[in-house]
Amino acid sequence: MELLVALAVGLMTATGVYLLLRKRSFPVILGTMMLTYAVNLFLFSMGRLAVNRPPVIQVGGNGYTDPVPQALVLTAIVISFGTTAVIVTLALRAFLEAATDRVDLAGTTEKDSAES
Amino acid sequence: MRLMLIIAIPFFGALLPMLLARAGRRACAIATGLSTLMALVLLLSHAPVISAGQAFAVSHQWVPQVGMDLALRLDGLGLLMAGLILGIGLLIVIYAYHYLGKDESLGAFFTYLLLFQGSMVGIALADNLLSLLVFWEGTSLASFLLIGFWRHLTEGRQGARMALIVTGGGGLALIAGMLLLGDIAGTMTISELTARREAIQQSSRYPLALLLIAVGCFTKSAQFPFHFWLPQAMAAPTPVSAYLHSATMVKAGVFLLARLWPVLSGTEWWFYTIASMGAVTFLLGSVVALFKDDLKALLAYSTISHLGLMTMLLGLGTEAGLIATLLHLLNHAAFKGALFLTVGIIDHETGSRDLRNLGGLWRILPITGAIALLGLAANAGLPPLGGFLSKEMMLEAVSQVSWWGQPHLLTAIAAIAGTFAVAYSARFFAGAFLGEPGADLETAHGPSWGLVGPAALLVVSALAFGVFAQPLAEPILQTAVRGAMGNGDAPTIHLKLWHGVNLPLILSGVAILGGGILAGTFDGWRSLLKRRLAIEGQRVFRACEWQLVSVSRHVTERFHGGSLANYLTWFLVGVLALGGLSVWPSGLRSGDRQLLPINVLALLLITCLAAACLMTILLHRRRLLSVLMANVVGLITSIGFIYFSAPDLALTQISVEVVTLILILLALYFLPKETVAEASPIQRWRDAALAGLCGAAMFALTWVVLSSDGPTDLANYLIEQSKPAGGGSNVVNVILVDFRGFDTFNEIMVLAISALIIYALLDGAMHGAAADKLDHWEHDIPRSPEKHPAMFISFTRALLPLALLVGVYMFLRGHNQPGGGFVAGLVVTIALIVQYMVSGYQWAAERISIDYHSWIGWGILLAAGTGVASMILGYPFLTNAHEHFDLPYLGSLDISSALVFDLGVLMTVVGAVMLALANLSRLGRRAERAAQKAAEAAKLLDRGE
Amino acid sequence: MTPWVEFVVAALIVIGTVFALVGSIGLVKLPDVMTRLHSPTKATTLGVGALLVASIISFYHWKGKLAINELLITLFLFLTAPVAAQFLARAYLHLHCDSAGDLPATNRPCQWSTFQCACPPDAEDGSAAKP
Repeated sequence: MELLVALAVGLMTATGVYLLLRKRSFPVILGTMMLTYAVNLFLFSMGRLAVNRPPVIQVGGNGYTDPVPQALVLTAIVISFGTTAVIVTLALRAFLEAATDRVDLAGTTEKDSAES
Repeated sequence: MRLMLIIAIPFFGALLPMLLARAGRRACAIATGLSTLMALVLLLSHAPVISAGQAFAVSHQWVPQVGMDLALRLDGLGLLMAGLILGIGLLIVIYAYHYLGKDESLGAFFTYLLLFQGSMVGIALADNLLSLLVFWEGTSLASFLLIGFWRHLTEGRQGARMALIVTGGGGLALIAGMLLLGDIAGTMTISELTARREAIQQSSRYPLALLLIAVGCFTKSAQFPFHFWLPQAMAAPTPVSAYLHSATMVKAGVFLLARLWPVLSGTEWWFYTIASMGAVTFLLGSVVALFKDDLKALLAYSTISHLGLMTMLLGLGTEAGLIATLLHLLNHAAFKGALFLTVGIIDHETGSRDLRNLGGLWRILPITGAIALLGLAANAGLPPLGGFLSKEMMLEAVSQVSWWGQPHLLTAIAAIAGTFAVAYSARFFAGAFLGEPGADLETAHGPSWGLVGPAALLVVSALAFGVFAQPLAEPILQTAVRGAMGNGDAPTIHLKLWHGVNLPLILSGVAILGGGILAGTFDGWRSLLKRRLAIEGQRVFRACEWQLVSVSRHVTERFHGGSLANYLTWFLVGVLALGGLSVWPSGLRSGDRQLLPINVLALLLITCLAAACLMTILLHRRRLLSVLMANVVGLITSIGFIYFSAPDLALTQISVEVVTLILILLALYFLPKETVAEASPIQRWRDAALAGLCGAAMFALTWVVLSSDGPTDLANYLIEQSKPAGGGSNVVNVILVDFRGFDTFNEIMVLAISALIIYALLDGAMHGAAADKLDHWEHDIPRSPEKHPAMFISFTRALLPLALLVGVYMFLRGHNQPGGGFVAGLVVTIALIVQYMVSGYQWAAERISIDYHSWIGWGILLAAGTGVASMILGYPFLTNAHEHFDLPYLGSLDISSALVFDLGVLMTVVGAVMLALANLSRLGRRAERAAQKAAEAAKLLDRGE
Repeated sequence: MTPWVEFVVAALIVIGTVFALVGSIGLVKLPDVMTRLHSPTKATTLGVGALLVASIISFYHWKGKLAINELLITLFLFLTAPVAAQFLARAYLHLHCDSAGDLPATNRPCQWSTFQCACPPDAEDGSAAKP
């Protein structure tokens, strides 16, 4: 099972990195989302994997998994929503102001075919 | 302690002019003058004891690990130097007050001046190699500020930069040299070095240390080949030039050489490095000075030449050389300071300092003329001034030394340089004061006493050092020499003007005669030599500077040319390379933890995940689809969280997923729905390869961690303490609101700040180009005019109370069961935002009377309040209190102060997310209205036809 | 008593899975969007509905507690599925159909609601109904 989780982290990272390397703002946003998933899962897995052992104390519980990475990742998820929202807004504002959604300075003079 | 005060007064005094800047120019000047005066009086109060051969010392530990102490020691040499700095400093303050314009910020100027003064005095008094370096760098920085004081002048800025680079670069060499010296000697205390002279000079590292220190001193004292910054620094206001570039800062190099003279001198290395460079500079400076038309440039080269003279004398390594140096240090400060001030007066009164425009000033500025005459006479070494005395001593000292095996070579150089000194002095005076006044000089008026006074005082002392050499200059010199020699057996000095006819006197006579002839016939042959003598270090410097800049620009453009993909590529390649290197020798090895069995469901999910990832990439140009695919990935992640015992994470992830989806769809309302294909296949494959490598690296890392056991101490501790200390059975939530509550507090702050950023960005879009675009919005895909579908409305309105109830439930149970403020906040947000989406902004805003800004604020205040409350009760910030109640009908209830904290979290989350989303939809509404209006107009047009 | 319960639960599960299977086949096989739309909605309603009922019965019978969760799931599914389906259909109409030509007439003063903001107040004269 550990192998599959590692595989998932790798896959999401690769997807995220590929999208980050695109030239328009929207794929880049998607890329950061993907990277967020990957990093959150990676951080979470630092507590090692355990099935049916949620860190909720109960009578007769059969052991608990590490709660620390979970607490870290929980806030990380919310914060990454915050940053995603900021870059989405940034991309939106940039598109409204500049009429292009490129993320590089190169070739901004040529006619933007994606412009509606 | 009083010693410390001498340095502390200028540094603390530096605050005053800045603070008094509003109180007027006079207040600034008085504060500065008083600071300087206090330090000077304090210094001179030590003088009687020091002239008796004593020295004061005080030391405080600063960084003992590296042998750095704040050690001060006041001996004769230090007294001479510090006295010059503070005495001339006082005159400069008076002069600058009258010189600088009414509209210039005197406060800043005097602050820089006092900072400089403090650093200079620090150099003079420092007894620790490292603390001396600190003051040394301090002078470089302060002089940068002073030279560039007229920051509107290009030359001023360039000069300041050049001075900083040259002296700062030399400072680096000096640091290395000092460290080396300290390492050889085994002590950083300067006064202890003399005793270890033999050991130091026999060390194999001595030449290197000497060379490095020499570079430091040469750059500071403008010695060839680093002399070029000094003329450039003349763009500074004249008081600065007079203070820094004649009397004090440029002497720092000479001073340091004199300070280290007992330790380092007397070797071949010393002689050939210091004396040779000094001699070259001496000659070069005085020759070039003759060809300068700008009076300040002339004086700058003259200063270079005199500094060369002193360096050469120190380089001789003889006692006579040292004595002559110190005497000339004193004399030069007096007459060169006076000359600079005179040029300042000329410039101030006539608006020009170019010899080709000036002339006949004797009639307009007779007193200034007299000062200049005396100063120039001292400069040229005419009797009976102090300059004559030191020049005679110099010739005497030089004539006893042979250079490169030639007994008379050095003497000849000195004589030639002296001849040129007479020549440029004569040219200065004749050009400026004699002859017919230029047409535009008629308006010149007499200078105020504030300008003339300091110059007169300086020149009078230059005269007095010659005429009353025995009672005045002799004791000062004797004290200084005793301090510089570092031991008791200093020779007794007798100064007198008349030595009888000897070699120096004959040479002086020749120099005066030759100089007169040179100056008289100057106009005839200047054009012949002018071009050949343009040895411009500045040009070399500029070329180097330009090269550096263009290389940096090239590098910047290569790596930082505005392409995000490029940055990331370099960054990722770098990270991969570093990561690869760090595991290179051993490689990554999987551990031996007992693994969980793979089941079919997991295989299915990972297949789905892989498919969704692949689809996200393949479909990434069709944006709506790719968002959905990315969301599939997020949902599978949350299923993973549930499966691996993290219900809180799963809840959070799912709710965040929904909110993110809404956000992105709202943004896609405006953004293009398709991405054009731009990347070439090569680029795509390259990116794919890089992405694959990154993925593989992450896979390997995760696998290595997951297959090995990790520490469990912290986890066990927190699980044990959760119930007794945190009062909750959901350990994750207890960590969030209690154990690591401060982290959470900061995290909701981040969320709040990002919400405010979003608000600012979107609110800004309601004006300017963005608003214009919104007001002419045309939909790129067809839309239904029916905004609020009836079926959807009825369902969501029915769902609202239920959804809010779920939020409250999640919140209340959060401390003991999966849930908590974050999740509850997101659930409430979703419940609210759906109302906006379905029933329209107007409808929802009328009914949901929540001010999201204040919710954010109250949320943070609430969270902080619980923390402060525990502080008031005497516990650390955010300590938790909890109580167990048994309520009738409702069962048992745990009430914890963490609940209030969590309420703060909830409010902040709701406020932040709603603020972002509601403002996005506000933007959409504006565009929608515009589009609708356009559509209606088009329809009307259709009907009309 | 128990065999009867088992029989009922088994039958419900079979019904549910068969409908889910039929729905999936339909999603693949049916020719265009509008017809394809039927299969997942029907599969949800009947297929998942049957499975949930089976779950409720079995839990009530063997664990002895009323499963609120399944009821809630049913409720949410019944609320969301029609709304989602309606939106899909409307999106299709807007992207691929012309309001005038492709759609059958409503025979009422109003147009198809999705192509009109609201029924205009002056629609009584029937001018808006006949394009």
